Amino acid sequence: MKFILKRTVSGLVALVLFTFLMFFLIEVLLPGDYATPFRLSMTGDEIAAFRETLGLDRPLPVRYWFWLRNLLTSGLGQTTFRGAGFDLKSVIPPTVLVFVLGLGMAFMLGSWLGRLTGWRRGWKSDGVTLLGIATYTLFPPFLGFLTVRFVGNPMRDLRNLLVDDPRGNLWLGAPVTEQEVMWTMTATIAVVAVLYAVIGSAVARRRNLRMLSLPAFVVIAAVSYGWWVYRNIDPYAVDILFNASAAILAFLLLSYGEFMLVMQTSMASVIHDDYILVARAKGISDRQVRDRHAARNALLPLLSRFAVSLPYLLTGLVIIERAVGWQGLGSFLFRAVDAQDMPVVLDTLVVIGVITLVVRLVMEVLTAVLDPRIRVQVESGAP
Amino acid sequence: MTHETARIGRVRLRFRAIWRGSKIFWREFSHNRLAVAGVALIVLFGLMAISHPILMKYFWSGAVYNPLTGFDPKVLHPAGPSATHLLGTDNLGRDVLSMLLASSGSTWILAMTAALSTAVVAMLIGAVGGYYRGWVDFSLAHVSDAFLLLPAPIFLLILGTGNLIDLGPVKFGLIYGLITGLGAGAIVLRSQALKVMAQPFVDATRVAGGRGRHIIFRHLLPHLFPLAALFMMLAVVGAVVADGFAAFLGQTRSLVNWGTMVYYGIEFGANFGSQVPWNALIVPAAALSLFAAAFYLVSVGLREVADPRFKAIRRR
Repeated sequence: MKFILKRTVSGLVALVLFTFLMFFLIEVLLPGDYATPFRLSMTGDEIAAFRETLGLDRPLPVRYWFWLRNLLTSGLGQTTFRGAGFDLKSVIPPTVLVFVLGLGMAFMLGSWLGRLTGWRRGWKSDGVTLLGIATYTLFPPFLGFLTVRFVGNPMRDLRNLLVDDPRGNLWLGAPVTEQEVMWTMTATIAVVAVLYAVIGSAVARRRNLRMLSLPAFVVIAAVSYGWWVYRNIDPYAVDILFNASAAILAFLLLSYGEFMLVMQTSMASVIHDDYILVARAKGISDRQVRDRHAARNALLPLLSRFAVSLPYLLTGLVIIERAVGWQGLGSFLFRAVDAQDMPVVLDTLVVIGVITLVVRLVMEVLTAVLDPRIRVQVESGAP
Repeated sequence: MTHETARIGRVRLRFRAIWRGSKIFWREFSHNRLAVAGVALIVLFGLMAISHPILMKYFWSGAVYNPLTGFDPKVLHPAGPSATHLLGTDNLGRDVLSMLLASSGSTWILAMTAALSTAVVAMLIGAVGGYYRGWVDFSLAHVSDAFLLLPAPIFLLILGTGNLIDLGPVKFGLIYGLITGLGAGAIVLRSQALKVMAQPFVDATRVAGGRGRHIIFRHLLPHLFPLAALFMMLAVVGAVVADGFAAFLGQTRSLVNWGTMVYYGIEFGANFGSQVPWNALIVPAAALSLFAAAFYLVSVGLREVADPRFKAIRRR
């Protein structure tokens, strides 16, 4: 409990510093202000008056204070344009859904591949490593283009084949909105996955339950789907999954390589530890040593690395969204950037920062539950 | 006189030690085939960057091969690979090979700037935080956390909007390096610095009378260097992709860039339905990925040299 409180406070401090930083950097580095776009149609006096009404003549710290106060009181994303996908609140759930789903799958796939390739080095593992590096460094717009062309479009056709809804009337008169369904989906999957991890780690002491494997994936998917059926949102959820497939796949391909490489390195570093030798000497099968003794310890560096990589992964998703045309925070942000709508850009960046912090907090708590050493370290104040 | 010879001898000894150290380093490094391939790729891209001005001056006529305005009236565009255009031409009739070579120079400069600025900033912040501890470390750690939240590629895109600021490769690399160095780089190096500071030889230096600056520059920074080199390579991967993406969206002033080339490929592919000019699309995308991947591979090799645990593995 003390651990969670400590991490939350430290996260909030970082968030305030972050807004401060962003506001100042953008105000100082970008030439012009919100009155600049109107300078051609106004005289000098009018511009001065306009700036005064907007409060742009005040000193920078005062403006920051006003901005921060308004951010907290008057809501986010007052865009100058209106319409579907133009409201900041409506584009958060699509991004969070793809982020959580894609990240979970990338984590499973990456740690599985890393476990295998780290255990035995050879041409096979070198090939898998190269493939991971290739997708990791692939240019995101090109990756998006390829996934839309070869996965997104066929999935759309498949959906039209499977679902008897040629004109997309499913959402007409639906009792729920897309955003609600997406929130429910994200929450279900996250809760089921966390529960699986916690229960699994408690059970795994006695039974041979592997944390990151295909069965785990199937169990999580089945339980989540069961909950959606219970809540009567399953047709909508399936529809969203079909539409999100290209974005999820592109994000998965972009991010699994990093998990794989980190897992590989940490597997290779525990492989010659004494307890592995002891486990082998006891006559346990190679596979059991790999999964139960080596991989469980190798997983910890991977989890702590997660916290540093999260912002980069989210940035990758924002770029991928623009590339595959998924209407989430990324597309929203780039539309605002194109329109030079700086207040909206700032708000979007704040939302991205908050998402990063929340996911990071969840990951840190999960790591602390799985590894008591970290809890002790933080509570005693050691690095 | 004797003082002078002693000084020269010391310099020579120093050089010999560096030479011997680099030989050992290369022996360790070259155990990893992928890392050597990465070095070869980086050298190849360097040669490509140098070769373009030479080719333009002595071999290629400007009217046909200019990367921005060239046009070959003898061929129907976009054309596949042929003897005159080794990688074909794009929809506007420009030679793909020439554009590819012309873009590699600026990307090289960008990579070097990003690498150097990341490494210097991250090492300094990490070392200062790790050495002084207390409130200095506390405030630096929180500043790093805040910088970690700032997405560098997106921030650079925002700076580039409307081309109000001239974001050349040097400035782009510098800003990217500062953000990553102050953020993730400082966090990673600080934790390493804390580990180094816990070593007994630091206490020994303190007992011998070593002051702060001496410990930081002579003991702490040399131990941080391998990890900083590794992180620098990772920063290059991010910077190259970010620059390509900014160019893809037209938010930098670089007229010829791998990202711009991919943009032309995709846009024309989207406009003409199935007729995607694959040669004009895959070539720059592959070049960008290979360039980034080369730095990543080198970083993997560096990690194996820097991490003593791997030495034991190789000996077996």
